[in-house]
Amino acid sequence: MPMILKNISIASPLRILVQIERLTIANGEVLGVLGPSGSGKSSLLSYCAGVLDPKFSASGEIWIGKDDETRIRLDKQSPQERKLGLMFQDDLLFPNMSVGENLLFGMQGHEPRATRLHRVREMLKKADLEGYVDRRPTSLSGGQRSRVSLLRTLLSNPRALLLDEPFAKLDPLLRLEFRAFVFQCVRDQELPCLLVTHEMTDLPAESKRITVGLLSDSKDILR
Amino acid sequence: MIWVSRIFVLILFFIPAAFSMLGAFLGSPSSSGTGALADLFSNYTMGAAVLTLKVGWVSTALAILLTGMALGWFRLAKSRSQHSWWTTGALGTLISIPHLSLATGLLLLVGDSGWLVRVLGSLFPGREYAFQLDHDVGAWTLSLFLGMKESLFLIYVGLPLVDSVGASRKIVNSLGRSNWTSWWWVEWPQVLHGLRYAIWAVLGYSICVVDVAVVLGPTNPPVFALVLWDWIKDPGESTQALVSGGALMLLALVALGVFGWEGALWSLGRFKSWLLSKGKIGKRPLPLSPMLLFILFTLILSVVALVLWVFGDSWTIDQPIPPAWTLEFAREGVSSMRGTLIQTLGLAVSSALASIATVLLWIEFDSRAHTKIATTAVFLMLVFPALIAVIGLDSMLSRVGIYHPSIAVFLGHMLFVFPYVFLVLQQAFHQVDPRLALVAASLGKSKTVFLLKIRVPLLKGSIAAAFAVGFAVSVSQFLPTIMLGGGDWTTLATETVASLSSGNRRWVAVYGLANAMLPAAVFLFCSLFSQRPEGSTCR
Repeated sequence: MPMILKNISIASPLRILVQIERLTIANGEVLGVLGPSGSGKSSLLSYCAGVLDPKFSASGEIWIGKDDETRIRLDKQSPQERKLGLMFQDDLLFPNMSVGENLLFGMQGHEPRATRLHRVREMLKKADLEGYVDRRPTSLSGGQRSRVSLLRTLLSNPRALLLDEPFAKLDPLLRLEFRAFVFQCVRDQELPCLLVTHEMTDLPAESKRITVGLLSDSKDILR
Repeated sequence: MIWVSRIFVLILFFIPAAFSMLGAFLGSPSSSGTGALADLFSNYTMGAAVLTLKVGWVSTALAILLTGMALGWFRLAKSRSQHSWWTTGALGTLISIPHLSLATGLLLLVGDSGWLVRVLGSLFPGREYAFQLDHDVGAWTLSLFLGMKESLFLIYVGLPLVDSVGASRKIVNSLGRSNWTSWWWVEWPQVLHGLRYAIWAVLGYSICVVDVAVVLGPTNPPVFALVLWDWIKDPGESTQALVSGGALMLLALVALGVFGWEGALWSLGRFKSWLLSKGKIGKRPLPLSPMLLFILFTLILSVVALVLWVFGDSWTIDQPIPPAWTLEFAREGVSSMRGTLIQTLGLAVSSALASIATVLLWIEFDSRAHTKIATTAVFLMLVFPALIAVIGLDSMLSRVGIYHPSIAVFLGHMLFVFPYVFLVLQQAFHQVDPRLALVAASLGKSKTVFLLKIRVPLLKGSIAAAFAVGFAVSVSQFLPTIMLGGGDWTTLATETVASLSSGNRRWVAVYGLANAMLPAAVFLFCSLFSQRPEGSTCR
């Protein structure tokens, strides 16, 4: 389901950070949000997820859905009702749960136990993590942890993905690998995806991108 | 300097601590006779042992549940800064009030012809209300009380842990889960993990507690610590073997308690895993505020009950509150307890100050590696049950032959004051920028000068806090005082317990209240100094 941002405006106590008139992110499309640190890239993401620090003032509509009738407005809903999969540069796996439990925790729906466990195993297999169900997150490598955290988000059936510099902490080789994996998943699951980064190379070549907080008057350029 | 500080810690803490542990295992000097075995494993003691385990588990489980609720509430509260003064202030004051005082207050509140009976009697006259705590065969009052009081300690220890929990709630929310789900499934388990040793300490305390069990516990059978306590008080030769056997048995009970708790925790983990695989992840928060408020209310009413009995006059059983007020008993009490008060203050002030000086000198001068080992030892001492430690220290001191009541009592108090003071100061110590010491050294100042001119002024607030904590710990010590003091030392704690056998409620209240007010006043006074000094380079 495509995601639409309308009349978004986010301001810190000092200045306006983000202004967006209208922006549509299609299914399976990655929208890159670029800009230097402190420019408000992450604030845009937090606003979409509904977890923006109250010291910012923000307004604007977030819609998701195919056509006008079935479209849902998200910006008035609580963070957990929005079901937008959020990911950070730290994998933030729950350290008190095993890999399998981490995945199960996010999984929605009321399928029988066997089905749930089966889906977890299938997902892990897809990510080359077969047999990792009972491992502790601390025993995984950085790349494996990142993959598990993406799987956890995907299993929660999100309406869209919000990625906050998801590749920043990985070394170059892993970065390449994980990037390909993420974009593959985005295409396969047909999710609209908002990706915050300060590296152009983190984005697929064909993707749309906006830049935040670059000009002195903080107006955004929409390319 | 480094040697002076090392010798200090060794003499004041480590040798006594090693003594007490060694002594507990070796038993008392005149271990004789196997006839004691029959007494040790009689039906009576076995019943007491089972009851003790129940008290330990019920109270610890309750304390943990309450802690989880309270900490979750703090974590989810929108503006925590509003609560912080209130919580640390109120929490700290309630913690500084000894268990014994609150227990006597609770006795006066819900016990036989207590306040509750009087209120009920005046509201619904013509009926007999009798709550006799020594007939509380299941020791429920004792368990509930320990759970309530110990939860305050766990909350206090857990508050800083809450801020350090990894994996943000944003992630959980984005997975479609509520804040409370995030707390109970993700954040709380991490805090619980950090509370592990504190929980062991709570378990050990509940299993070994004597003074509170005297006040609130049942009598037939009593908890095992009281059985042991009876043996200790009996000076006969044959009981010596019984005492050392009993100490070992108590140690075994603590071990069993901890083992059972860890087992329960493991099963809970399995159960949660199963719930996850079934997809049964609760959404609702547990009903917490009423329960927490009820507990706070009960504890505060216990203190009020003490006040009523001290200052109330000619209060009969059918009146909800005293009809008249008087200062006579308070005045009489204060004049008669002057000697006790001086001894209590002397012990508390000296052990708190000695601990502070020792800890400061030692962390400043000794190497990091040594203090790391020490931290383990200190934690071990916190978990090690008091009753057993005191029995061990007692037997070792008399074995070595340096027994003098004053020294023994002082060392006994140090055994319990030192670990708490160490914990408070050690944390603050490492918040001072370590580069300051390098700067001072490069300016040609010795470590001693740095300690006195820079470190101590910077840590003024924490030193005040450590003093309050050490003071409160010392005031609450019943066992070390009475066992090691050989009758020469009376403190408010020992007198409170002694007053219970007199059966005079007013005396119980007078001593209980004094025992509560002294550490609470010191705590409030010290908290005036506990604000962070301006312009300090604290990270």
